[in-house]
Amino acid sequence: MSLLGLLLGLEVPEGDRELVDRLKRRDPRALAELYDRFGRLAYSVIIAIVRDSGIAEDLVQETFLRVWNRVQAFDSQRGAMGPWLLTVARNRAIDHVRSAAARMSRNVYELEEREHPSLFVDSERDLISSDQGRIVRAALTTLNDNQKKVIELAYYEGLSQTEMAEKLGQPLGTIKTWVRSALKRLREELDRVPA
Amino acid sequence: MTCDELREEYDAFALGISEGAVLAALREHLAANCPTCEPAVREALDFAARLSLGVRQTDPSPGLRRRILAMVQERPSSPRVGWLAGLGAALALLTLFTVRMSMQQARSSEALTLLSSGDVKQLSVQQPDFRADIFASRSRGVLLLASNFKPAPAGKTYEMWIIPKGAQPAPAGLFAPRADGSVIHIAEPIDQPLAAVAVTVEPERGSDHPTTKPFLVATP
Repeated sequence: MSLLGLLLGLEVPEGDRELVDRLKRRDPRALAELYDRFGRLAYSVIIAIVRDSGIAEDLVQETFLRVWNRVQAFDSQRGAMGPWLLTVARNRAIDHVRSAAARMSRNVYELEEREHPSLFVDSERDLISSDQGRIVRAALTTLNDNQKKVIELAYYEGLSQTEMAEKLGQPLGTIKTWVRSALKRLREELDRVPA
Repeated sequence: MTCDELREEYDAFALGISEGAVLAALREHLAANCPTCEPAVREALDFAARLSLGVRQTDPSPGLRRRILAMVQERPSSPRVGWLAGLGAALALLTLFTVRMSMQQARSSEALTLLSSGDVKQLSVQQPDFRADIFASRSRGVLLLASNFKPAPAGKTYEMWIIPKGAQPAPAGLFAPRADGSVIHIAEPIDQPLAAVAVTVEPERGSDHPTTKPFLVATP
Protein backbone atom coordinates (compact mmCIF):
# COMPACT_ATOMS: atom_id res chain seq x y z
CA MET A 1 0.00 0.00 0.00
CA SER A 2 1.30 3.47 -0.78
CA LEU A 3 2.30 5.88 1.93
CA LEU A 4 -0.96 7.72 1.61
CA GLY A 5 -2.83 4.46 1.72
CA LEU A 6 -0.95 3.36 4.82
CA LEU A 7 -1.65 6.63 6.56
CA LEU A 8 -5.30 6.37 5.80
CA GLY A 9 -5.56 2.66 6.44
CA LEU A 10 -7.17 2.17 3.07
CA GLU A 11 -7.90 -1.32 1.83
CA VAL A 12 -8.46 -2.71 -1.63
CA PRO A 13 -12.21 -2.42 -2.04
CA GLU A 14 -13.96 -5.75 -2.32
CA GLY A 15 -15.64 -4.51 -5.49
CA ASP A 16 -12.31 -3.92 -7.23
CA ARG A 17 -10.99 -7.30 -6.18
CA GLU A 18 -14.12 -9.06 -7.33
CA LEU A 19 -14.14 -7.11 -10.60
CA VAL A 20 -10.57 -8.14 -11.38
CA ASP A 21 -11.36 -11.77 -10.62
CA ARG A 22 -14.33 -11.66 -12.98
CA LEU A 23 -12.23 -10.05 -15.69
CA LYS A 24 -9.72 -12.85 -15.25
CA ARG A 25 -12.55 -15.34 -15.73
CA ARG A 26 -13.30 -13.54 -19.03
CA ASP A 27 -16.72 -12.35 -17.90
CA PRO A 28 -17.94 -9.78 -20.47
CA ARG A 29 -20.20 -8.20 -17.85
CA ALA A 30 -17.11 -7.34 -15.86
CA LEU A 31 -15.76 -5.45 -18.84
CA ALA A 32 -19.05 -3.59 -19.06
CA GLU A 33 -18.75 -2.67 -15.39
CA LEU A 34 -15.16 -1.57 -15.88
CA TYR A 35 -16.22 0.62 -18.78
CA ASP A 36 -19.06 2.13 -16.78
CA ARG A 37 -16.62 3.06 -14.02
CA PHE A 38 -13.70 4.29 -16.07
CA GLY A 39 -14.81 4.72 -19.69
CA ARG A 40 -15.67 8.41 -19.42
CA LEU A 41 -12.49 9.20 -17.55
CA ALA A 42 -10.31 7.24 -19.98
CA TYR A 43 -11.97 9.04 -22.89
CA SER A 44 -11.47 12.41 -21.19
CA VAL A 45 -7.75 11.73 -20.65
CA ILE A 46 -7.27 10.60 -24.23
CA ILE A 47 -9.23 13.35 -25.95
CA ALA A 48 -7.38 15.98 -23.89
CA ILE A 49 -4.23 14.70 -25.59
CA VAL A 50 -5.31 13.74 -29.13
CA ARG A 51 -8.10 16.37 -29.53
CA ASP A 52 -10.06 14.28 -32.03
CA SER A 53 -13.15 12.41 -30.89
CA GLY A 54 -12.93 9.62 -33.48
CA ILE A 55 -9.30 8.88 -32.72
CA ALA A 56 -9.99 9.17 -28.99
CA GLU A 57 -12.72 6.54 -29.17
CA ASP A 58 -10.46 4.17 -31.12
CA LEU A 59 -7.79 4.64 -28.46
CA VAL A 60 -10.28 4.03 -25.63
CA GLN A 61 -11.19 0.80 -27.38
CA GLU A 62 -7.50 -0.13 -27.57
CA THR A 63 -7.13 0.73 -23.90
CA PHE A 64 -9.90 -1.60 -22.76
CA LEU A 65 -8.73 -4.33 -25.13
CA ARG A 66 -5.25 -4.09 -23.67
CA VAL A 67 -6.55 -4.27 -20.11
CA TRP A 68 -8.77 -7.24 -21.03
CA ASN A 69 -5.82 -9.06 -22.61
CA ARG A 70 -3.42 -8.37 -19.76
CA VAL A 71 -5.57 -8.65 -16.70
CA GLN A 72 -4.25 -12.13 -15.90
CA ALA A 73 -1.03 -10.47 -14.72
CA PHE A 74 -2.91 -8.10 -12.42
CA ASP A 75 -2.84 -8.78 -8.68
CA SER A 76 -6.46 -8.71 -7.58
CA GLN A 77 -5.49 -8.79 -3.91
CA ARG A 78 -3.29 -5.70 -4.04
CA GLY A 79 -4.09 -3.87 -7.24
CA ALA A 80 -6.59 -1.15 -8.03
CA MET A 81 -7.79 -0.90 -11.61
CA GLY A 82 -8.11 2.88 -11.91
CA PRO A 83 -4.44 3.92 -11.92
CA TRP A 84 -3.51 1.08 -14.25
CA LEU A 85 -6.28 1.79 -16.73
CA LEU A 86 -5.58 5.53 -16.77
CA THR A 87 -1.89 4.89 -17.35
CA VAL A 88 -2.68 2.60 -20.27
CA ALA A 89 -5.09 5.21 -21.66
CA ARG A 90 -2.59 8.06 -21.45
CA ASN A 91 0.15 5.92 -22.98
CA ARG A 92 -2.05 5.06 -25.96
CA ALA A 93 -2.75 8.75 -26.51
CA ILE A 94 0.86 9.84 -26.10
CA ASP A 95 1.98 7.15 -28.50
CA HIS A 96 -0.50 8.50 -31.02
CA VAL A 97 0.57 12.14 -30.82
CA ARG A 98 4.29 11.52 -30.83
CA SER A 99 5.85 12.13 -34.19
CA ALA A 100 7.07 9.10 -36.11
CA ALA A 101 10.64 10.30 -35.59
CA ALA A 102 10.15 10.59 -31.85
CA ARG A 103 8.62 7.12 -31.72
CA MET A 104 11.55 5.61 -33.60
CA SER A 105 14.14 7.34 -31.45
CA ARG A 106 12.67 5.94 -28.27
CA ASN A 107 12.89 2.44 -26.96
CA VAL A 108 10.00 0.26 -28.03
CA TYR A 109 9.45 -0.81 -24.43
CA GLU A 110 9.33 2.72 -23.09
CA LEU A 111 5.57 3.05 -22.78
CA GLU A 112 5.03 -0.60 -22.04
CA GLU A 113 7.42 -0.63 -19.11
CA ARG A 114 5.32 1.89 -17.22
CA GLU A 115 2.04 0.10 -17.65
CA HIS A 116 2.79 -3.45 -16.64
CA PRO A 117 0.02 -4.65 -14.30
CA SER A 118 2.54 -5.70 -11.65
CA LEU A 119 3.42 -2.05 -11.08
CA PHE A 120 -0.12 -1.17 -10.09
CA VAL A 121 -0.36 -2.79 -6.72
CA ASP A 122 -0.81 -0.92 -3.49
CA SER A 123 -2.38 1.92 -5.43
CA GLU A 124 -4.60 4.64 -4.19
CA ARG A 125 -8.13 3.35 -4.09
CA ASP A 126 -10.79 5.83 -4.92
CA LEU A 127 -9.49 7.62 -7.97
CA ILE A 128 -12.86 8.67 -9.17
CA SER A 129 -14.26 10.24 -6.09
CA SER A 130 -16.13 13.34 -6.99
CA ASP A 131 -13.71 15.95 -5.67
CA GLN A 132 -10.48 14.65 -7.11
CA GLY A 133 -10.71 16.47 -10.43
CA ARG A 134 -11.26 19.79 -8.71
CA ILE A 135 -8.38 19.15 -6.30
CA VAL A 136 -5.94 18.31 -9.08
CA ARG A 137 -6.98 21.33 -11.12
CA ALA A 138 -6.57 23.54 -8.07
CA ALA A 139 -3.08 22.11 -7.52
CA LEU A 140 -2.16 22.90 -11.13
CA THR A 141 -3.11 26.53 -10.62
CA THR A 142 -0.42 26.86 -7.95
CA LEU A 143 2.33 26.30 -10.53
CA ASN A 144 4.10 29.26 -12.07
CA ASP A 145 4.05 29.69 -15.86
CA ASN A 146 7.29 27.80 -16.50
CA GLN A 147 6.30 24.91 -14.26
CA LYS A 148 2.88 24.75 -15.89
CA LYS A 149 4.41 24.73 -19.35
CA VAL A 150 6.72 21.79 -18.71
CA ILE A 151 3.98 19.77 -17.00
CA GLU A 152 1.71 20.38 -20.00
CA LEU A 153 4.44 19.35 -22.43
CA ALA A 154 5.13 16.24 -20.37
CA TYR A 155 1.56 15.25 -19.72
CA TYR A 156 -0.16 16.18 -22.99
CA GLU A 157 2.66 15.76 -25.50
CA GLY A 158 4.88 13.16 -23.84
CA LEU A 159 8.01 15.18 -24.59
CA SER A 160 11.26 14.14 -22.94
CA GLN A 161 13.14 16.79 -21.01
CA THR A 162 15.62 17.16 -23.88
CA GLU A 163 12.74 17.67 -26.31
CA MET A 164 11.23 20.27 -23.98
CA ALA A 165 14.57 22.09 -23.83
CA GLU A 166 14.68 22.24 -27.62
CA LYS A 167 11.07 23.32 -27.92
CA LEU A 168 11.33 26.03 -25.28
CA GLY A 169 14.87 27.12 -26.20
CA GLN A 170 16.09 26.62 -22.65
CA PRO A 171 19.11 24.76 -21.25
CA LEU A 172 18.36 21.17 -20.23
CA GLY A 173 19.36 21.95 -16.65
CA THR A 174 16.77 24.70 -16.48
CA ILE A 175 14.07 22.38 -17.79
CA LYS A 176 14.99 19.73 -15.23
CA THR A 177 14.76 22.30 -12.48
CA TRP A 178 11.33 23.43 -13.65
CA VAL A 179 10.12 19.83 -13.93
CA ARG A 180 11.36 18.84 -10.49
CA SER A 181 10.00 21.92 -8.80
CA ALA A 182 6.65 21.53 -10.57
CA LEU A 183 6.26 17.89 -9.57
CA LYS A 184 7.36 18.65 -6.02
CA ARG A 185 4.83 21.44 -5.82
CA LEU A 186 2.04 19.24 -7.17
CA ARG A 187 2.88 16.51 -4.70
CA GLU A 188 2.79 18.96 -1.82
CA GLU A 189 -0.58 20.27 -2.93
CA LEU A 190 -2.10 16.84 -3.53
CA ASP A 191 -0.68 15.37 -0.34
CA ARG A 192 -2.48 18.05 1.61
CA VAL A 193 -5.71 16.47 0.40
CA PRO A 194 -5.93 12.66 0.65
CA ALA A 195 -6.79 10.69 -2.50
CA MET B 1 23.39 5.49 -9.78
CA THR B 2 22.25 4.89 -6.23
CA CYS B 3 18.67 4.78 -5.02
CA ASP B 4 19.27 8.03 -3.23
CA GLU B 5 20.41 9.70 -6.45
CA LEU B 6 17.29 8.40 -8.20
CA ARG B 7 14.91 9.54 -5.51
CA GLU B 8 13.97 12.77 -7.29
CA GLU B 9 13.49 11.01 -10.63
CA TYR B 10 10.63 8.66 -9.85
CA ASP B 11 7.87 11.10 -10.76
CA ALA B 12 9.51 12.07 -14.05
CA PHE B 13 9.88 8.39 -14.90
CA ALA B 14 6.22 7.79 -14.14
CA LEU B 15 5.29 10.61 -16.49
CA GLY B 16 7.51 9.14 -19.20
CA ILE B 17 9.93 12.04 -19.47
CA SER B 18 13.07 10.41 -18.06
CA GLU B 19 15.93 9.72 -20.43
CA GLY B 20 19.61 8.94 -20.73
CA ALA B 21 21.59 7.72 -17.76
CA VAL B 22 18.76 8.27 -15.30
CA LEU B 23 16.34 6.17 -17.33
CA ALA B 24 18.93 3.44 -17.81
CA ALA B 25 19.71 3.39 -14.11
CA LEU B 26 16.06 3.24 -13.13
CA ARG B 27 15.48 0.37 -15.53
CA GLU B 28 18.37 -1.49 -13.93
CA HIS B 29 17.00 -0.95 -10.46
CA LEU B 30 13.52 -2.05 -11.51
CA ALA B 31 14.83 -5.10 -13.37
CA ALA B 32 16.65 -6.08 -10.17
CA ASN B 33 13.43 -5.62 -8.15
CA CYS B 34 15.14 -2.92 -6.12
CA PRO B 35 13.31 -2.79 -2.76
CA THR B 36 13.70 0.99 -2.63
CA CYS B 37 12.99 2.01 -6.22
CA GLU B 38 10.23 -0.43 -7.11
CA PRO B 39 7.71 0.66 -4.47
CA ALA B 40 8.65 4.28 -5.06
CA VAL B 41 7.99 3.96 -8.78
CA ARG B 42 4.66 2.31 -8.04
CA GLU B 43 3.74 5.21 -5.87
CA ALA B 44 4.90 7.65 -8.56
CA LEU B 45 2.72 5.89 -11.15
CA ASP B 46 -0.16 6.32 -8.76
CA PHE B 47 0.66 10.01 -8.50
CA ALA B 48 0.85 10.33 -12.30
CA ALA B 49 -2.51 8.60 -12.65
CA ARG B 50 -3.96 11.00 -10.11
CA LEU B 51 -2.82 13.91 -12.28
CA SER B 52 -5.05 12.48 -15.01
CA LEU B 53 -8.04 13.46 -12.92
CA GLY B 54 -7.27 17.09 -13.66
CA VAL B 55 -8.62 16.83 -17.21
CA ARG B 56 -12.08 18.16 -17.92
CA GLN B 57 -14.41 15.21 -18.20
CA THR B 58 -16.16 14.68 -21.51
CA ASP B 59 -18.64 12.03 -22.61
CA PRO B 60 -17.77 9.69 -25.47
CA SER B 61 -20.49 8.69 -27.91
CA PRO B 62 -23.01 6.15 -26.57
CA GLY B 63 -21.86 3.70 -29.23
CA LEU B 64 -18.39 3.36 -27.73
CA ARG B 65 -19.60 1.16 -24.89
CA ARG B 66 -21.28 -1.14 -27.40
CA ARG B 67 -18.15 -1.30 -29.57
CA ILE B 68 -15.99 -2.22 -26.59
CA LEU B 69 -18.37 -4.89 -25.31
CA ALA B 70 -18.71 -6.35 -28.81
CA MET B 71 -15.02 -7.19 -28.63
CA VAL B 72 -15.63 -9.89 -26.05
CA GLN B 73 -19.28 -10.86 -26.12
CA GLU B 74 -21.23 -13.72 -27.69
CA ARG B 75 -18.72 -16.43 -26.94
CA PRO B 76 -20.20 -19.91 -26.47
CA SER B 77 -19.89 -21.42 -23.01
CA SER B 78 -17.47 -24.32 -23.42
CA PRO B 79 -13.98 -25.34 -22.34
CA ARG B 80 -12.73 -23.34 -25.28
CA VAL B 81 -14.22 -20.13 -23.95
CA GLY B 82 -10.88 -18.83 -22.65
CA TRP B 83 -9.07 -18.82 -25.90
CA LEU B 84 -12.19 -17.88 -27.80
CA ALA B 85 -12.41 -14.75 -25.69
CA GLY B 86 -8.83 -14.05 -26.64
CA LEU B 87 -9.75 -14.73 -30.23
CA GLY B 88 -12.59 -12.23 -30.03
CA ALA B 89 -10.18 -9.68 -28.68
CA ALA B 90 -7.74 -10.46 -31.47
CA LEU B 91 -10.44 -10.05 -34.09
CA ALA B 92 -11.26 -6.69 -32.60
CA LEU B 93 -7.59 -5.78 -32.58
CA LEU B 94 -7.32 -6.84 -36.18
CA THR B 95 -10.32 -4.67 -37.00
CA LEU B 96 -8.55 -1.76 -35.36
CA PHE B 97 -5.44 -2.47 -37.39
CA THR B 98 -7.53 -2.62 -40.53
CA VAL B 99 -9.40 0.59 -39.91
CA ARG B 100 -6.70 2.69 -38.32
CA MET B 101 -3.59 1.46 -39.99
CA SER B 102 -4.66 0.81 -43.59
CA MET B 103 -3.48 -2.77 -43.49
CA GLN B 104 -3.05 -4.56 -46.78
CA GLN B 105 -6.37 -6.11 -47.71
CA ALA B 106 -4.99 -9.50 -48.69
CA ARG B 107 -3.09 -9.98 -45.46
CA SER B 108 -6.10 -8.83 -43.47
CA SER B 109 -8.25 -11.40 -45.17
CA GLU B 110 -5.67 -14.13 -44.61
CA ALA B 111 -5.37 -13.25 -40.92
CA LEU B 112 -9.14 -13.22 -40.46
CA THR B 113 -9.37 -16.62 -42.11
CA LEU B 114 -6.76 -17.99 -39.72
CA LEU B 115 -8.46 -16.49 -36.68
CA SER B 116 -11.79 -17.90 -37.79
CA SER B 117 -10.51 -21.43 -38.37
CA GLY B 118 -11.86 -24.13 -36.06
CA ASP B 119 -8.50 -25.25 -34.73
CA VAL B 120 -6.95 -21.88 -33.84
CA LYS B 121 -5.35 -21.57 -30.40
CA GLN B 122 -3.94 -18.50 -28.73
CA LEU B 123 -0.40 -19.06 -27.51
CA SER B 124 0.98 -17.76 -24.27
CA VAL B 125 3.47 -14.98 -24.94
CA GLN B 126 6.26 -15.09 -22.39
CA GLN B 127 7.18 -11.43 -22.57
CA PRO B 128 4.40 -9.75 -20.63
CA ASP B 129 5.96 -6.33 -21.20
CA PHE B 130 5.67 -6.65 -24.90
CA ARG B 131 2.45 -6.11 -26.86
CA ALA B 132 2.05 -9.16 -29.05
CA ASP B 133 -0.52 -11.87 -29.66
CA ILE B 134 0.30 -15.12 -31.41
CA PHE B 135 -2.26 -17.60 -32.73
CA ALA B 136 -1.58 -21.03 -34.18
CA SER B 137 -3.80 -23.13 -36.38
CA ARG B 138 -2.74 -26.56 -37.62
CA SER B 139 -4.61 -25.91 -40.84
CA ARG B 140 -3.87 -22.22 -41.41
CA GLY B 141 -0.48 -21.45 -39.87
CA VAL B 142 0.80 -19.07 -37.23
CA LEU B 143 -0.26 -15.43 -36.91
CA LEU B 144 1.65 -12.72 -35.08
CA LEU B 145 -0.24 -9.51 -34.27
CA ALA B 146 1.83 -6.85 -32.57
CA SER B 147 2.08 -3.12 -32.10
CA ASN B 148 4.77 -0.62 -31.12
CA PHE B 149 7.45 -2.71 -32.80
CA LYS B 150 10.64 -0.76 -33.26
CA PRO B 151 12.26 -1.09 -36.69
CA ALA B 152 15.05 -3.67 -36.75
CA PRO B 153 18.55 -2.18 -36.51
CA ALA B 154 20.24 -1.17 -39.76
CA GLY B 155 21.21 -4.23 -41.77
CA LYS B 156 19.01 -6.50 -39.64
CA THR B 157 15.52 -7.93 -39.87
CA TYR B 158 13.05 -9.81 -37.71
CA GLU B 159 12.63 -13.52 -38.29
CA MET B 160 9.97 -15.83 -36.89
CA TRP B 161 10.77 -19.40 -35.91
CA ILE B 162 8.39 -22.30 -35.48
CA ILE B 163 9.76 -24.89 -33.10
CA PRO B 164 8.09 -28.32 -33.37
CA LYS B 165 8.23 -30.64 -30.38
CA GLY B 166 11.58 -32.40 -30.26
CA ALA B 167 12.89 -30.62 -33.34
CA GLN B 168 15.08 -27.68 -34.26
CA PRO B 169 13.56 -24.24 -34.97
CA ALA B 170 12.33 -23.92 -38.54
CA PRO B 171 12.46 -20.52 -40.30
CA ALA B 172 8.94 -19.06 -40.50
CA GLY B 173 9.51 -15.91 -42.47
CA LEU B 174 11.08 -12.48 -42.24
CA PHE B 175 9.05 -9.42 -41.41
CA ALA B 176 9.39 -5.71 -40.77
CA PRO B 177 6.98 -3.54 -38.79
CA ARG B 178 4.97 -0.99 -40.71
CA ALA B 179 5.75 2.70 -40.29
CA ASP B 180 3.23 2.90 -37.43
CA GLY B 181 4.92 0.01 -35.61
CA SER B 182 2.22 -2.58 -36.30
CA VAL B 183 3.03 -6.11 -37.37
CA ILE B 184 0.85 -8.76 -38.97
CA HIS B 185 2.93 -11.75 -39.93
CA ILE B 186 1.57 -15.10 -41.03
CA ALA B 187 3.65 -18.26 -41.31
CA GLU B 188 2.77 -21.45 -43.11
CA PRO B 189 1.19 -24.29 -41.11
CA ILE B 190 3.30 -27.21 -39.94
CA ASP B 191 2.30 -30.85 -39.54
CA GLN B 192 4.16 -31.58 -36.31
CA PRO B 193 2.96 -30.67 -32.80
CA LEU B 194 4.08 -27.19 -31.88
CA ALA B 195 6.46 -26.59 -28.97
CA ALA B 196 6.98 -22.84 -29.36
CA VAL B 197 7.07 -19.84 -31.65
CA ALA B 198 9.93 -17.37 -31.36
CA VAL B 199 11.16 -14.16 -32.95
CA THR B 200 14.79 -13.13 -33.27
CA VAL B 201 16.77 -10.33 -34.91
CA GLU B 202 18.74 -11.69 -37.86
CA PRO B 203 20.91 -10.40 -40.68
CA GLU B 204 18.91 -8.68 -43.44
CA ARG B 205 18.66 -11.75 -45.65
CA GLY B 206 17.52 -13.97 -42.79
CA SER B 207 19.10 -17.06 -41.29
CA ASP B 208 18.61 -20.80 -41.51
CA HIS B 209 18.80 -21.10 -37.75
CA PRO B 210 18.51 -18.46 -34.97
CA THR B 211 21.73 -16.54 -34.43
CA THR B 212 20.49 -14.30 -31.61
CA LYS B 213 18.54 -14.88 -28.42
CA PRO B 214 14.77 -14.74 -29.06
CA PHE B 215 13.17 -11.62 -27.63
CA LEU B 216 9.68 -12.99 -28.08
CA VAL B 217 8.69 -16.58 -27.25
CA ALA B 218 5.20 -18.04 -27.25
CA THR B 219 4.11 -21.50 -26.18
CA PRO B 220 0.83 -23.43 -26.50
